[in-house]
Amino acid sequence: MQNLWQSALHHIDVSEGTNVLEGVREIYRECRLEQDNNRLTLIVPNGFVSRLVSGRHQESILKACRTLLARENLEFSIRVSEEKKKPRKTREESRKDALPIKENSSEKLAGAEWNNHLISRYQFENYVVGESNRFAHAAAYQVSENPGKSYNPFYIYGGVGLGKTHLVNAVGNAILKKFPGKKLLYLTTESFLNEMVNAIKFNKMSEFRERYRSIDVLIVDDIQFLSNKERTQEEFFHTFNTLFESGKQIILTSDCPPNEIVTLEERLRSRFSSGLIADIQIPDFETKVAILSEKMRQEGINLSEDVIFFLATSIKSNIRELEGAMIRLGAYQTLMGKPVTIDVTRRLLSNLIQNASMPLHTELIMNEVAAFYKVTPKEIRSKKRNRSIAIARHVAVYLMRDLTQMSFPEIGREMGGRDHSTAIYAFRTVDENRDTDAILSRDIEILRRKLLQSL
Amino acid sequence: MDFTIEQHVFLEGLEKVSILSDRKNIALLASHILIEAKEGEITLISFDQSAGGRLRLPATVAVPGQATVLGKKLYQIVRELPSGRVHLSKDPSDRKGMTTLEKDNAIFHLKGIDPRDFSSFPEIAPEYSFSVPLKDLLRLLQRTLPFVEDEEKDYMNGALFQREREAGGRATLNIVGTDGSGLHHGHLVLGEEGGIDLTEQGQKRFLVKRRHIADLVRILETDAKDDKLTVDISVNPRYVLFQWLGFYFFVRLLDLRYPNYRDVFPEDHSVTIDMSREAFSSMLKRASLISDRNFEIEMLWDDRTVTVKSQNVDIGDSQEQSPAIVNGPASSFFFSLESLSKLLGVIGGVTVRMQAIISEDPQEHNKVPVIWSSLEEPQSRYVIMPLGAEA
Repeated sequence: MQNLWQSALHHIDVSEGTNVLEGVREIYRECRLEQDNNRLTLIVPNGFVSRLVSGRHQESILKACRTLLARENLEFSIRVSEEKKKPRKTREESRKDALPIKENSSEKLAGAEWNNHLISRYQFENYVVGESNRFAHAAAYQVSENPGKSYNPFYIYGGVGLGKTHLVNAVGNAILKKFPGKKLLYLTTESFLNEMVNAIKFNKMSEFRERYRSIDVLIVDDIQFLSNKERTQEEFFHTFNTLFESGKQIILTSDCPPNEIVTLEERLRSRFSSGLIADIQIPDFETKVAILSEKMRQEGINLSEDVIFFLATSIKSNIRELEGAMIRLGAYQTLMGKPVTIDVTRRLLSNLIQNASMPLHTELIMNEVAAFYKVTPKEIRSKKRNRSIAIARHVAVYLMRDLTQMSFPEIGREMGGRDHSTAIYAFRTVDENRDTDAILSRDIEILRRKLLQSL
Repeated sequence: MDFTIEQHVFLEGLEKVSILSDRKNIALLASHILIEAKEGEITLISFDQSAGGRLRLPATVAVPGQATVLGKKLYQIVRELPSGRVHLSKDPSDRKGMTTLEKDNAIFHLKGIDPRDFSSFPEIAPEYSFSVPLKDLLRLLQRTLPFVEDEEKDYMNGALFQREREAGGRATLNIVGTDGSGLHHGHLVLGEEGGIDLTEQGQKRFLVKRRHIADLVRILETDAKDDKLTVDISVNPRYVLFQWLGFYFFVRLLDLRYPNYRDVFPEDHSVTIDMSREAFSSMLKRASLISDRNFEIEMLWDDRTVTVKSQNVDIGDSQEQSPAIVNGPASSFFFSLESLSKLLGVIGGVTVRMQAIISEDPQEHNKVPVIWSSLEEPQSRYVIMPLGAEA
């Protein structure tokens, strides 16, 4: 119904002019429409907005909804939302709350209202599991069953938009259902940093430390942003230790494994690595289809199967883009009142689909591999047989085969005019050694991820 | 003196009484708390010449006696102690000596003054009394306090309490504070708690100094979570006494003149403007980035919007609009940013209402008080005087 509300506002702009809603668009954003047969109810946040709507725009809104839904006998009413905002504090109350609570502070905090900042819509129930995230999901579920006991710390990494935030929030929400008394906090590294800066500024470090070291479950998103922040790393180190030594659960997410976070202190790196590390990869086709289906169910959007398949095939990068595309198509369908076809999809999402279907260029693979092994592309193509160059050459061949549609003869030519059998040999060498050579396996993983994210 | 007491009971009592001894640069007496131990209880007392507080707490008293300790410091120490029983003792022969506080492995020796320096706590015989729900009293005082004058002058000083009783017995309490350019008037219908007194209908009024109101607010806040509490207020010509939950707080009254605040409020209005409090507050905040507290802002309105303009010769200017529901002619006022900020610091609710009389005579335009209120808080109304036309 949020789509219909936005559509109604858009309709008023188009049919009556944009000046009608001038100045109120921001206020009206908090409203939502509910439909019950022929009755539409506009839920508004407070009495002032109710009076504004009824005094100025009620007729325009009703007219727009009747047109969009093609129902002339639609009735309309306004209702103030019953969700109460927290009462605003007076200055005196705010000043009182600023006083440090020293004695029995953890008990007092437990009894006082605690905001865990979890995103409630992210649950295990609506998390789609596929090969790309099966291990991470299973481990996450274990953590939710036995926080602080199973895997601690629990470190999840993966590219942007692959579901890390959903998964860790699902863990948090599941823990609170099972253990309602636990004090849990979800936040990003940036929030941690900002709070710390404010605590230093207002001389409230003891309260800051009290807050973070008295919780039962700490979930920190995007821990890679600790990179280059010495003071934050120092503080986080002490927080981590205090919680860990008390058997409290720590869950971290990042876009890379701990050993790839640049300028991370070794003591933090070793601690992050001391529990379980799980990665989430780009979902395969089937998983993408399943994700789209689930999201459509949640949003009340109905796209045809061929459009879903088309989206899953065309958008290769991350789930966030996939969902964004789906929302755009859903809004188009509601606004225009017409079903979305593949042609429409191609037209509406031309920029997304174009980017996604661009193949990986061999030059890009060559440059990344060369930089990684600290050699030059020229050396890789040359006849030199130094160990580092040879390894780089083999890895380049392997990745070209893995990430592009090139044949071995084409790869051989790309590698400085070599025979296709040389390319096959290089590929097989890497393929066979990957399972036994941890360093090789890690290197390939890093390069693969980097190359796919550059798409 | 020798007694033990539960740490949390002691702390709750000290939290109230230490507020009264929380002063800088005042007489030694006023910064100390007197502790009197008698059978089964201790009494904490803090007072100076103009106000004081007393509270009795259950304790196990081994030896009755008296001691004095720095109030704020004792509160800070007890706050840091773990839960459990706390032991205090003092050698009765050592009148200016140490009071010993012990808890587990912690021992404190605290200096004090001679308890005999504390004169006896006044018992106040009321002339009339009434009761007010604690949360309502606190709310009104919190909104009044920013508007109460703090200077030592003989007019418009302090907060006015006015109890009116109509024929038929209905009583209301009015609390007013003004600093000359802004005013808050809060009122409560007292209902059955209107109290019993020996006078007939009419009004009774008394004035309380700002710092005592501030102390009272801080003490009331310690019990604000309990919705059901009632404060008994007793008054005689020299003192007012506030009592609740065994806490007894007296204040010497100001003997000064106070204006008839009702004269400030016009009978009628020619314009009424309703706007979102949040939106208005945000607009002012942004305007204050240009126009600092010493300057004015201009508030204009037409039939659909309110516009706030600010300017600063050194920085530049700003303008921002917000939707409003307006009944009346378009016009504008200049207001002091400080006054409006003060108003928005206390006014609650969702919708702020401004009411004014728009005079056709430009000389008179800025002379009539502008009334502010919140539709969701009908017990309070505010006056913010507009600035002169030459502003």
